[in-house]
Amino acid sequence: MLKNGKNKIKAFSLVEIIISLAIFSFIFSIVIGIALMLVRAQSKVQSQVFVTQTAQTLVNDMSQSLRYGYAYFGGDRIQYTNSGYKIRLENKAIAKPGDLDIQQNQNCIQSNGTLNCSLVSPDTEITNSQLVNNRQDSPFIVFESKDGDPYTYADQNAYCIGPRSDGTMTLYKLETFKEIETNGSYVEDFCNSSSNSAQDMIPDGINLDYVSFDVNGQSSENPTNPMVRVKLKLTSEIGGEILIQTTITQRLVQIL
Amino acid sequence: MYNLQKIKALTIVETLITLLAMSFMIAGPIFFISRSFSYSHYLQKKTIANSLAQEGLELVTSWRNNSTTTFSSTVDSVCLNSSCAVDWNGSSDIPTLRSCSQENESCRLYLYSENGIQMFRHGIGTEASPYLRSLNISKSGNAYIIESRVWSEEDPIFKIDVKLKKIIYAL
Repeated sequence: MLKNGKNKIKAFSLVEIIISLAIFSFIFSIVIGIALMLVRAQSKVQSQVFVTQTAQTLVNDMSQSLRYGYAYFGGDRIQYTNSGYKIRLENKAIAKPGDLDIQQNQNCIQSNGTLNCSLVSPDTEITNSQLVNNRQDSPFIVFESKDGDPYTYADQNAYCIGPRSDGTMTLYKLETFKEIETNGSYVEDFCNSSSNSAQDMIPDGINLDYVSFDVNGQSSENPTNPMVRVKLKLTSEIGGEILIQTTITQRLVQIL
Repeated sequence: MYNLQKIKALTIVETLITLLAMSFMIAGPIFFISRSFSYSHYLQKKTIANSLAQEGLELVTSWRNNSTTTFSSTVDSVCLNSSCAVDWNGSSDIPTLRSCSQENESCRLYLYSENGIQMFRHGIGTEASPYLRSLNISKSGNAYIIESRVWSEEDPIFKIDVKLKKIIYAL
């Protein structure tokens, strides 16, 4: 502190003020930096937890629906993508385990006398795209819900990967398919944002890197042991990624 | 001119106390955030472990669904006296069962990648995952008590150990 000898006026010198400001600025910038780091870190933690909870919710939802559903179908990933994420089904009856009436429905009996609801789409975009009971690495799964009407495919449920309007990928759930053609012999729907019935299962900010279903529906006639393995990977810009896997066994089977 | 005799300054004790207080102010939130990170990672790993443990139970159930006779004979010979590992290749009608030891790496799950899709498998895959899975099965009459355990010792502080139990009947 400088003292003026004559008037005894106390004041800071310029050097003192500059040094004080420099020290204050230094400490202030450190404190602000730490505060910002804490805010970012807290945001990252919250985002990580959110991604984890989302993955858990998805697995729970799929497990519950698939466990009590039946007539599982999967398909080819490349053909599905090339078709614009379209799933088309031939509208005919489905075999429900133990339901002899439906098994005897002529729509589902093939030439060899066994029930086979595997479907070949006539759509030229997805030529040879075959929905089959047994398919590894399927990008979607179609199934009859627990309370569904086995006499129609229009109320089939599906989980499928597809693009949002902003181009990011998500998991859609379909609960109805639109009947097409005049006699309603086919039903179809898209797993993308253009579909009115497709429900986006993943919140904004989280993307579906991939979903893969190992569908082992066996034959529709005698599905002794249907099961599905689900693998999905979620990513978030802030919250990182999570890879989750589980297997679901159907509960409607008749034990031999 | 400065009067050096009259300049007041902080003592070393005051300075140290100030630095200590500032250290606490900075270290406290950093410690809090690092714990939050650890807990969120723990939550994430426990969620994954829970799904894998559930998968273990489901695969055993599917084996029973396929054939109670084969299920009983296989489980009795492979799993009643030791832990065992259950695995499914995604295409066969039944999973595979083999014995494994919780004391070594034989129960470890590996990350197997195919067409860019990763999955957890026993004994297949090049990248060791942090998770190990074993089934402990005991029998009481026709009832089999299945305990599916998934654990990870990657983090010594936040150890993952998920145990799910289910009773299935081979009637």
